[in-house]
Amino acid sequence: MIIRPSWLHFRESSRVWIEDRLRLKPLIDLLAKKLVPRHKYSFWYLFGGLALFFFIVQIVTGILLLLYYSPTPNTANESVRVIVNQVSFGWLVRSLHSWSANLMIATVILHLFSTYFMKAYRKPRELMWVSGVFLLFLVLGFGFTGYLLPWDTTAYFATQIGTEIPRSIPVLGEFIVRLLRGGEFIDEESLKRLFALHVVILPLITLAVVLFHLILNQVHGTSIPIGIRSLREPIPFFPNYLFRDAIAWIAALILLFGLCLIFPVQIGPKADPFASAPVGIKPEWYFLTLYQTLRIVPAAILGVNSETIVNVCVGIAGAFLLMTPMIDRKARMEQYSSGFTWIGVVAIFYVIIAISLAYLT
Amino acid sequence: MTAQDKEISRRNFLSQALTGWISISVLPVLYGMVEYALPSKIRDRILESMHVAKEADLLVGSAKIVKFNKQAIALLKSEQGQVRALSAVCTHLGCIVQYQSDRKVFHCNCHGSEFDLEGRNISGPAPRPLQPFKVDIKEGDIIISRI
Ligand code: HEM
Ligand code: FES
Repeated sequence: MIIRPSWLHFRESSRVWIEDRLRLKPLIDLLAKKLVPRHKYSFWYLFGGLALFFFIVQIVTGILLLLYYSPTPNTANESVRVIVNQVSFGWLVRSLHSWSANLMIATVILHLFSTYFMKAYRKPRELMWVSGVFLLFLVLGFGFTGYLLPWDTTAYFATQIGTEIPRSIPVLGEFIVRLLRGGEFIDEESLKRLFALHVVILPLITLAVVLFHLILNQVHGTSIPIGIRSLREPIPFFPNYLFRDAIAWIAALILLFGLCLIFPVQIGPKADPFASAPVGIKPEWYFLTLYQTLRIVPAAILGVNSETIVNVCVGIAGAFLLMTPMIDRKARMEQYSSGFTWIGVVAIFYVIIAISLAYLT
Repeated sequence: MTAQDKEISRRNFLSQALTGWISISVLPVLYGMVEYALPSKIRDRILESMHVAKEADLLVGSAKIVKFNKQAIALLKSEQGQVRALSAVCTHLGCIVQYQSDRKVFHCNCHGSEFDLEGRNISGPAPRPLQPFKVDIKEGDIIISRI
């Protein structure tokens, strides 16, 4: 008779207990059945999972910040100071939330470009792409609404400008500005609104869209770029691929903590809505492309002001992004569409040049 | 028509009626939610005129920013002792302008628009002049009203 240590026995019996009640086996079999192809671009598949990782960090640290944060113009800046200076590990929680937000947006953008260049949006994954574009808009929405919450001078005027730009959207502009601000100017009402968006409305919508995105990924499996013959054996998602994901997540965690320890996030002076705007108001890096575009376009072309022109261009670019799988007819027929690759390359160059110009001038 | 066909068209009718009914009732709910979210003008209680400062607080040749309802207003006392009130909100994208006494202009630090002492937009992207307000001085109290 084999005598088994009691903890092994305990582990086995709890596994059976849980399996009898939750019936997880079909789910695990399903995950194991999904095969992840391996080829020279496989590395880029890691970024979707990394975006998910940073999103989870945002939820956890966001809930922690909520315990002390207070969303009124009189208390917001002070409550963030309390978190940073008095709450145990408060500075760390705040830095994690801020750095992870930046890394999440960066990974979502990388993920978007990599799936774009691999043309992973082609049939039958059109809705993965469309939901992905919505996720991009949602994470940018998180960045925009979260920025005002510490109520410091830069954030105050940057948000004033940011909520003024939609005013020149034809027809709907005025309506959108009032809805966002809850009034004519950025004040208590606006802070409460952006707060509600940041901590309740956007998270609920994002969770639903992420779930949709992940379920579709499970249904369709991972795509193989056009013309690539998978050289190596594909590996099952569970446990093999998940193990690679886990390594990437640990690397991301180390990077995240490193950034927080070396560059802890600072807080600026409390905003005074009745003082002149200081010099050097700039948005966060992910809005600098838009910012620089507004600076490049002349104040008025044929009587139309630059904000209207830029708004219309952004609308067209957004629609192009959403509709890419429907427009790219070649990729749909499994033919390499170099025109779309070139559009992507030009877009990357434009983004890099615009951001550099915004920093340098 | 067999009994089965009848059954199908009846079911069809019911499901279409239900879909129609649900979509029609969603509209008023959406409308109500948007109306609720839009800020109401009544709740804001905009005053037509307000006491904002004492004349003695103003220095000749410098500007003071005061609060009128929820708006920032620049008060400026000229060398002749005349007090002028202009909206301090840049007409470009809404930053608060800064008075530069050496150059006698209102300068906006956000994108560099400039306005002269009358509030006229003289350079930069600002599309309109600064909005003027009416100034009354009663026993040293400065009272501002909308024009
Ligand atoms: C919060 C944001 C996002 C999360 C958490 C997320 C998560 C994921 C995960 C875990 C995968 C599977 C692994 C992979 O193929 O990388 C995936 C696949 C995919 N994602 Fe995302 N994603 C996000 C945003 C986006 C965006 C912005 C786009 C593009 C517009 C996008 C488009 C896609 C596509 C097309 C795939 C399928 C890739 C393939 O099968 O080759 N996702 N996403
Ligand atoms: S907001 Fe004043 S110049 Fe742009």
